[in-house]
Amino acid sequence: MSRSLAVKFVVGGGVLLCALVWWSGRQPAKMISTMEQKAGANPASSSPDKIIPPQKDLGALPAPARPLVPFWQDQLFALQAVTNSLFGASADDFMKELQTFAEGVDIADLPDILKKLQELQAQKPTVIGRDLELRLLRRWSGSDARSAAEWAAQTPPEVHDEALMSAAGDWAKQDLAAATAWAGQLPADGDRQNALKSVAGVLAYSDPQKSLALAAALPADSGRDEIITCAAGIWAANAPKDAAAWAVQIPDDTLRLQVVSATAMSWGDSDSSSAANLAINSLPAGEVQNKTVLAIVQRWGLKDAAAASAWVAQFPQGDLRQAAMDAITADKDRSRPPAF
Amino acid sequence: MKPTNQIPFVTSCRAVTGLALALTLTAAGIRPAAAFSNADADTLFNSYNTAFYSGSGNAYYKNYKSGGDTGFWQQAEEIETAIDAANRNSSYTSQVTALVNGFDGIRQTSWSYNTYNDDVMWACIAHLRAYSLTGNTTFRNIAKSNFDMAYARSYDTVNGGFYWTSANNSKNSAVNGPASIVAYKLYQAYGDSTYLTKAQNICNWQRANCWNSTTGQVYDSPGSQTPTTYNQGTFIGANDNLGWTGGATLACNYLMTMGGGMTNGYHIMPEYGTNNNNSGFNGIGVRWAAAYMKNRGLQSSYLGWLQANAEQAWNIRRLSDGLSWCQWDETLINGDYVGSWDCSSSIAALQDVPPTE
Repeated sequence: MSRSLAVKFVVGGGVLLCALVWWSGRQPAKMISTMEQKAGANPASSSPDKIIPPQKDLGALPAPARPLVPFWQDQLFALQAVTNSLFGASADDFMKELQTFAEGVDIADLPDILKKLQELQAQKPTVIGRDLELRLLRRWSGSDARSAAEWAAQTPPEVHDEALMSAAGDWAKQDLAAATAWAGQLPADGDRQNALKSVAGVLAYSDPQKSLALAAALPADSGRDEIITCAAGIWAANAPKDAAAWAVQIPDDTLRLQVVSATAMSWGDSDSSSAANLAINSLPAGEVQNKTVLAIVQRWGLKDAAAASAWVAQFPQGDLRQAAMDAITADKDRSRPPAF
Repeated sequence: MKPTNQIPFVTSCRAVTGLALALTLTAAGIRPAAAFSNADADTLFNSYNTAFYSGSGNAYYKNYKSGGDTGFWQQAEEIETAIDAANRNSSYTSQVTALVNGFDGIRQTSWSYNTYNDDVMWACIAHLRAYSLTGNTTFRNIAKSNFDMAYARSYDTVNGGFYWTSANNSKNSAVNGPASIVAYKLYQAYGDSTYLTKAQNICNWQRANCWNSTTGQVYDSPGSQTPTTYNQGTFIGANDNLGWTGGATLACNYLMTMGGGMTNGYHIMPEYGTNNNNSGFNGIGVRWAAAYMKNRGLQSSYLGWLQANAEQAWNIRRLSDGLSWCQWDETLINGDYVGSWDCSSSIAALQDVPPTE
């Protein structure tokens, strides 16, 4: 082989290889819809069953030039244009495909993808486009929560509230102080309250007292009250007396009943007798008290059925007494399954 | 191998045995196994609804034809059977919406009062599957807040695994299989990868503590190796979700061996008795095994077995009211007093297993 022929062969081969690499990158994200990918971001590394074949080392190849049309564009257009409902018998498969796309694109491309998706949605909105927007935002929040939150704050009404709350909540999980400060300075009242509510919701699990302080400062609505109830229940699991003392002082009657009930039920896991006293002494007779008492009896019955029965035996004859007795009996029946 | 027109010895023996069995069963008043169709699946579900569905006010399934309530987790699982039906025949979708709204009306939307974390998980699965079916985000959000509540009160962040009740003193498969499924479905619904991690961690705990990786047997708990069809089923579902097909296959193969009765060489799932907590176990086992088969294209391994069980459920129905029960080795006859929970496994089998014709 002459030297010039050899050079031509090597150069030609190199060009062909580069073209192949570029082409393979353009294949739509459907390529990652195999069953191993269904687990998500990095399923291979967490699979206890599968041996993952080694990846081909492409390190020696020259990096392909960035194509004029981004890799993701064709598939984004195709997904957004689907006008079928996302929901129904095939919903799980569809959600999987959208999630696979959201997790398969380059993080650096996320702002461009979201911008393009928003343009498409403005022209002809689809349910799938909206869902995809939220999935991409979530992915972005994982790597750059501030930028994602700022983008969410500018989204159009169709997706605005959900995007904002999702971004604020995700940011709060990573950097509570920064997320709280950002949420607190949002100019629109509705945005600020939604974002702070989302932060308070995250805090309910990690620092319930802070969550309560934040939520208590927000205007009353059912979402805020749910957060307060949830946070109080979690606080009561660790400091039941403090939580109970706080709960009984809530001025709003409806909220107080809800929170005292949650506190008593949570206390019932560690000290059924004290929980029972709280329920009897701090809740008026009625539906909420009955529900709370039954929850305490169920917990008590599992630990000490005789003591629970003795307490219930003091109840006046009636539906509550019968329901409480039934709860203890039903739990006794919930024994281990038979062997075959 | 040389082609032959001769019937192989084993096949001819099976045919003779089958004929003898059919004659014996007919003589005993038991109908021989029959194929079932999509229309039969509708028929069975319609009979179930006629007997037990209450659609006025808060919709729910009555415990018996005369009334009563089946209980928290049983009601959630009966909603799952309605979802199974709606996934096969979308005309049942509005009933699913009514049932989930009814569940929330009767049992409220915060389930922290219930100490059993597995109950919470069953209800979460029903709500998330209803969300996938209908797109109603309220169902999804209720599932999320209740999973988060249970996770906060009862997930063991040190040693892994969910505790069974809020007393946090024992762990088992009953809660961990469903909990992994819920976490995965939340990941799927919200695109929040923290739930994927939870699904993996929960499933890993179950694999390490409640599973025999040689036989595929799923233990009831670390202290009790008793296998049950529902624990096998949710283990299969959890592993299938995560792409851990080795675990799912072993567990499904084990499930195929459970039960003493045989039809066409296949085991018919065990009889757990009527009027008790376990009466609906087989429906859960069938549901997740059938889903695994369909998701992974494993019909050659599992379709015959699943169809044998579904055919059996169809074949033992009582003609007077069209109900079938959980005792799949025995025909339901007049005088047998059955409740909706007792009949739910047969519904699931007919809805989830592809028909034979």
